[in-house]
Amino acid sequence: MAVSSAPPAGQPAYRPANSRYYTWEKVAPYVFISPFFILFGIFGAFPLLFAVWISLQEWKSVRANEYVGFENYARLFTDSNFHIALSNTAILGILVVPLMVIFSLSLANVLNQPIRGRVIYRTAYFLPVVTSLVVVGLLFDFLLGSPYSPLGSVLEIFDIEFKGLLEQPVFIKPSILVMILWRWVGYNMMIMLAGLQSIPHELYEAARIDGANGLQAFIHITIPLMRRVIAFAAILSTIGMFNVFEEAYMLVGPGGGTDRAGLLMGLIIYSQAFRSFNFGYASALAYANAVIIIALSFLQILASERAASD
Amino acid sequence: MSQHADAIAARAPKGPPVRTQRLTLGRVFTHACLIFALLIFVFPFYWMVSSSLKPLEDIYIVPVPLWPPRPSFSNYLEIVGLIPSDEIDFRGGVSLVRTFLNSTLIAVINTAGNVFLASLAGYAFAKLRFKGRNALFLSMLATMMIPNSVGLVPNYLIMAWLKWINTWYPLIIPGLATPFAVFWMRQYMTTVPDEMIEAARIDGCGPFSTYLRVVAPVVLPGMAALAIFSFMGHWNAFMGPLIYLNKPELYTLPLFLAVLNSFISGRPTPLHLIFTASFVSILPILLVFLFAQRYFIAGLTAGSLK
Repeated sequence: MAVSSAPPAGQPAYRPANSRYYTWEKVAPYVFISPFFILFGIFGAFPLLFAVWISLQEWKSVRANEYVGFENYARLFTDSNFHIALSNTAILGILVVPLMVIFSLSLANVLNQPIRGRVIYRTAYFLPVVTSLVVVGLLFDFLLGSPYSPLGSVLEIFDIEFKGLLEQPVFIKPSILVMILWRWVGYNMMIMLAGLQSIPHELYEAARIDGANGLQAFIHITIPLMRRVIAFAAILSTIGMFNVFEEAYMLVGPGGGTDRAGLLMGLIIYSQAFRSFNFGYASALAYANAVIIIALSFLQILASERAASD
Repeated sequence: MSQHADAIAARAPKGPPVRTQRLTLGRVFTHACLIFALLIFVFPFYWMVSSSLKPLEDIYIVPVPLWPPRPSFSNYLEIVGLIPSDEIDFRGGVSLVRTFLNSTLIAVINTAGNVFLASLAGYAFAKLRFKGRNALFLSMLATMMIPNSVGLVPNYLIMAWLKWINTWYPLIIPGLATPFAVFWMRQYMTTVPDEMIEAARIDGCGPFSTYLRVVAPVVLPGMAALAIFSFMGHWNAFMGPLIYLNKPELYTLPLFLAVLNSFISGRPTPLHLIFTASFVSILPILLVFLFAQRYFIAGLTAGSLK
């Protein structure tokens, strides 16, 4: 791009006088964002509005539909499948979130110290995070559900009979819990580690000089300074719980397994949409799920801010 | 060199004595816990690999032997179609090779598109001034709070109207530029000093060549993290293929795995093939992870940035 003549007065010296160039500079930002915004508009933003409209319809097939008002939302109050899915997801969330925080914070806290081989530990703990959820589901399906699982061989040493856990409803939720913790603890550990590394080391030095032991330093320095990071990890886990699909699909199937003990919100939305083809009701379910997720996130942010200001 | 060594030698006696790692009870306990956790995290992988070396009958041996009694690679030959396989024929007749290539193609196109288009948009949002910039960016951020499941049914209907069911378009086109990628690239671009961009403009670079020659090289680590994140997301994606594909020749790896695991009456579940295919399917990601951990962790924990 040749700059030939001197710029006219009133314009910055570096701006070329070429008027075509000048227009391009004004238009360029819109050109740069347009591929994204076209795709995002069609497949990201428009579907959100379209879903509202769909949720007010009774869909018979891909094309035929009938306006039914808020009937699909009213159905949420009477549908036992939805109630089971919601309570299963909530129960698992109440267990997953604190356990996730405890395990990941403890591991991160240990690995934040100069321990021999910590890179190896860190890598190993992160391995499940890079594994596909379908493979995770398949592995746990066999490990927890099959009579030929190595878990059975271990339990046999203690004379405990093992025939697979996934047929019995009481064991379905604990199985999902274990699988989710296994998959995600490493991920949360990395978030916690990033947080821990931002705590100035002098604080711990000062505490040590004042005679605080490791546990006291952890309670009085680490936890208060990590409050935001912990809240962030807790919110991510909560959101994640309401979106669990792949691994549960592989472990218990789209129906949630025996007695629907593993029926989760992610599964019921999928099966209403693509097993029963109730597109309208599936969209109402998806919006109900979204409202719950957003409300819970706000509550958690509020709670952590309040705790921080105390 | 020698001056440096002298400096170290001079400093050494003055500093505090180097604390050697003594074998205290606490340290032993810590390592015992860490190793126990390590075994829990690694064992399923070990067991997947060892099962992939067993013929189907040996998977049913109880108690489970720690190492396959008759290890062989025949499962690998069977899963890629070099040995005829009833189990694969009963489940659509495509081998792992085909699905592996399908997954690779889809993931590569998506990753390339996402890195290019999202960094371009991210550059505009971070460094260019234009009307509506903040409104557009905020509207994008607002939709990111809404979970993907809301878009599930409408997207399916859009794809059906476009006659894209049983094609790869639903898996490729929407992922070419995602809000998260734009957000991530924008955050990365804000770290590029304005002076650099000004200097490029004074030197006569237009907006695009400024992006390509000046900004893109600087944000390469951010692009690498995004590329890994994006590739992994598409490589592992399951819901999309499950909804949109039912022709075996179009299957991606996760769908292929799910189909292998599906129940067909009168046939055994081909566990030996499932473990083999599972291992092969996670191997590329695992290798990239082991060699490019930094970018992996940056990309996957990106959300924790303040």
